[in-house]
Amino acid sequence: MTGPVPPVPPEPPVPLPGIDPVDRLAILAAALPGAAVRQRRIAAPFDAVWQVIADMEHATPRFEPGVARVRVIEQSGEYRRLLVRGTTAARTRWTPGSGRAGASCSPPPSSSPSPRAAWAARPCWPISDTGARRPCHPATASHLTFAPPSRKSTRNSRPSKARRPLRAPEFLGGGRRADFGVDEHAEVVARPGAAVRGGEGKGRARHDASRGPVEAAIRPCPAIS
Amino acid sequence: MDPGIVAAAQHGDALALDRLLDELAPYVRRLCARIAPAAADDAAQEALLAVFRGLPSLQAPEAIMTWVRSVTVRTAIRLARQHDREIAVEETLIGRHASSLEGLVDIDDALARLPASQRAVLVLRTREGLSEQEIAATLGIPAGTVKSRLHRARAKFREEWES
Repeated sequence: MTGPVPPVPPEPPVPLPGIDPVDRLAILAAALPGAAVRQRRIAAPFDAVWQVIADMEHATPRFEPGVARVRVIEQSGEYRRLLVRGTTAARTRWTPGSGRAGASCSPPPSSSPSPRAAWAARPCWPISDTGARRPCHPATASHLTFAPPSRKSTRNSRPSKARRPLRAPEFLGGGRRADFGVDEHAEVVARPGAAVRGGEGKGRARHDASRGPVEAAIRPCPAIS
Repeated sequence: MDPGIVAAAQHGDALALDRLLDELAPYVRRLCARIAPAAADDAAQEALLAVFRGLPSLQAPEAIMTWVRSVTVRTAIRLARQHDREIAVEETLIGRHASSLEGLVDIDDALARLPASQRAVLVLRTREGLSEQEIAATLGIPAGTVKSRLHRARAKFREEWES
């Protein structure tokens, strides 16, 4: 028990594998307010899928319902800066990591945060008051609807108010507030732990991150804008 | 680390975030591999997630490395403890796992047999060259606790090395 402590080698090799592209995307999204990462497997070879995804200007409007037009306005190495026009005339810049299997968004500081939320959060399937999923259409709902996955996961709110539609959307994911104009349309899938609060101050729900991602559909409400 | 990149990343600049991730990932991965060798991948991913999630609230961009180190070490210790608990349950059924063919001759192997908290202080002291005060600040524990933990870690390491 009294032998000398062996010397510690200066710097033994430590394997440093690169970060998985999807993991990398999740890390980046953690620092981008309103961003969320969702995954979906497509039953097709990677090369075939990537061929479509890589052609952002032409292909993006085909698989993004809220995108009307995409234009590459800047390209630097593997990065591209895009100008994205939504179907409701909301505009933002979109900066995906084009060389990697994913995208993050970076609108200019002067732009409204709502387009950032719109393009960062896809796909969006609003949850109805009963928790059932239904496809969303820009022309349908005009108010914020928030329903947690289960009643147990709702804290700091009474169930009756958590289930009822909230108005005056205020998205607090990442501490950034999103205001919506009359004609704007934004859909948000909030990340775990994000809070969605009604502007009337009558309902507040915070999702338990251990129960999986919270989903919230945020729509502008003409009556309060 | 360029404070300008950190500041831009804090304001949501995706390109700055990307560069920041490139710079931080090797350091975080290396720390996690030392402190939580059996769960290095998970620890590195969780630590980076915690770092980037908390980035906007970082008050002093110039102190980012200290902050990253603190977050990483605490995350690695937590995951290492979690992994150790799982292994302990398995070992009661199948017995202690065999070491390398040459016996316990690998320093990393001896380090891996220490409890996570002791391994962390030993790694921070010997590999990272931190003082006891810096280790205390990193782990959020009193300096006296660091001293006693270091003493026990060295004794345990010697014991594992000689066994």
